[in-house]
Amino acid sequence: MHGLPANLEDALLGLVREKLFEGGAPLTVETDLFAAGLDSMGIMQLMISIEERFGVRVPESAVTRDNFSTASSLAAMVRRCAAPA
Amino acid sequence: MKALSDSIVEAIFARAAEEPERAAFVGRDGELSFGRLVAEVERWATVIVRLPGFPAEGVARIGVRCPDGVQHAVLMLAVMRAGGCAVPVAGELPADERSMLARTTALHGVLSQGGQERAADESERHEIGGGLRWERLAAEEPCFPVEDFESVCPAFIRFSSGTTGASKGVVLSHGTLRERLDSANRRLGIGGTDRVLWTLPMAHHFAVSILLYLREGATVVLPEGSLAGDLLTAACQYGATVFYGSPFQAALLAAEASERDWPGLRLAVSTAAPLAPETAGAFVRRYGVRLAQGFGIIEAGLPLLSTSGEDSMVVGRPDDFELRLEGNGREGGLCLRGPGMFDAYLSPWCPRQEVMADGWFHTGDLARQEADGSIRLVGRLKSVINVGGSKCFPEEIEEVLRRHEGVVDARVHGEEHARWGMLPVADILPVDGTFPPTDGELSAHCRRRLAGYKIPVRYQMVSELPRTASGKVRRV
Repeated sequence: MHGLPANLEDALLGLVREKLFEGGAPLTVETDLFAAGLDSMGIMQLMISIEERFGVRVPESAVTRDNFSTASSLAAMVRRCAAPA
Repeated sequence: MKALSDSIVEAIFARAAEEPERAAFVGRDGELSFGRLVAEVERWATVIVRLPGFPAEGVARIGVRCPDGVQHAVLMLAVMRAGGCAVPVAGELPADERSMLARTTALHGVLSQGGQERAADESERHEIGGGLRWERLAAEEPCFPVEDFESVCPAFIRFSSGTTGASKGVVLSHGTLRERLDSANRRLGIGGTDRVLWTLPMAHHFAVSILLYLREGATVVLPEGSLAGDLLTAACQYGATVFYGSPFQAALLAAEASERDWPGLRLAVSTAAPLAPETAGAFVRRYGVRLAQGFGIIEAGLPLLSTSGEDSMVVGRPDDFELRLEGNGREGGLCLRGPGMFDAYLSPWCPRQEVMADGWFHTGDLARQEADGSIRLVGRLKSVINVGGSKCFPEEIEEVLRRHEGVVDARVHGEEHARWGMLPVADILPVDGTFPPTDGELSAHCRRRLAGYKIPVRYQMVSELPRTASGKVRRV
């Protein structure tokens, strides 16, 4: 287990910027990612990166609009995935 | 505009004329009847032939860069209706890959919706209505023999993955498309009463999908979004009868939280990547329909489909395709031939007759033939990395990594992964082993040049890379 960074929201925002959006789109932790163009390939890439970077497993049932809508909601999801069941 | 003759568009128009009131598309973009689809395609074809730079003679090579939706399908058909050859430009391609694609196919121009091109000459950019833009490109001298290319009556070019590395561009003619759809539908059995839930990226899946559904008079259901909840909502609202998607989407659907049923579902096909047994099990438990496993390759269409669903690596028994295993044993490289085989590789130009000089197309898959004649996939012979259905080649990723100033050489391979099938990982030989480039620097470097799924998920610094006798990096 990698342990989650304290500033998980920012780490996820960085990941979203790095992986998904070419150029410097002005994103914040509350930007609606679906409105910014998050599609199925993007979701797949986010899942891969989150699992690799934070050492968690994101179950298929967690792939919902609520969880993937912002960097902030992604962070909440990652914390739940990392919590012992 | 040229008259329609034996074109795939003519086949679709002929079917549309039988029931012009029937819906060709429903869902996110509203309902479009077959009658209106024909009118829209004709209207855009008329616009396209008048675009600046559309060649008066020969076959126009037109890129289509458009998000998934009715407009994407209309534009692709309109390019073909206008006598052109349509080249989908996937939305996820960064600028470098797009310009490589444009150069390799010597595009006359690109029709696009959304997105912003930065490098283009403003004077060659034209707003053409409907939120669409035509970008005329400098007519570079094609690196393929134009006469040979045009002689096959090309309708469609698709790159099997990236535009560099080992991807060559697959040319499909109108005749090939018609044969291919007939052949694939012998296995799929899609008809006018079907409603097919659309889940895949259109730039990667168009022939044995959109073209096939429209030609059979079936309705394409476009969901609002790509999440499982969106798919299921559209499926129920519009009475979808067919699911054709990736194993990942099947897994998402099987795990969807609302516990809604999909009562109208009669055929579910998983394609593009190996289906995990857990996904197959979860899907049939949830929806009561076994996932059929399709074996689709761009050179051959959908030559195999397993409907038994008992073992997810079994891709079916050959019917109108002939199969052979290299070495003529029970296990070997899978070779096939049958109706609707591709016409040529574009770059470097190589017609099918030469590719299949021994009479067979070598798929690069390692397969075994079971006692009942069905084919089981057991591995890959080629270096392709299949990331959840999106394919790339190690060579193209290595080539990009080598361009980083801190990298002497790189070796990429696909690491097996339970959910995605494979993920690219890289061994890096750094210029300076004491201060090697960071993962973040390497990823950012790749991000500007490669589609996201091709970016290695991990980088391992090494002090040497194993080589073959000829000096090439030895593949894992």
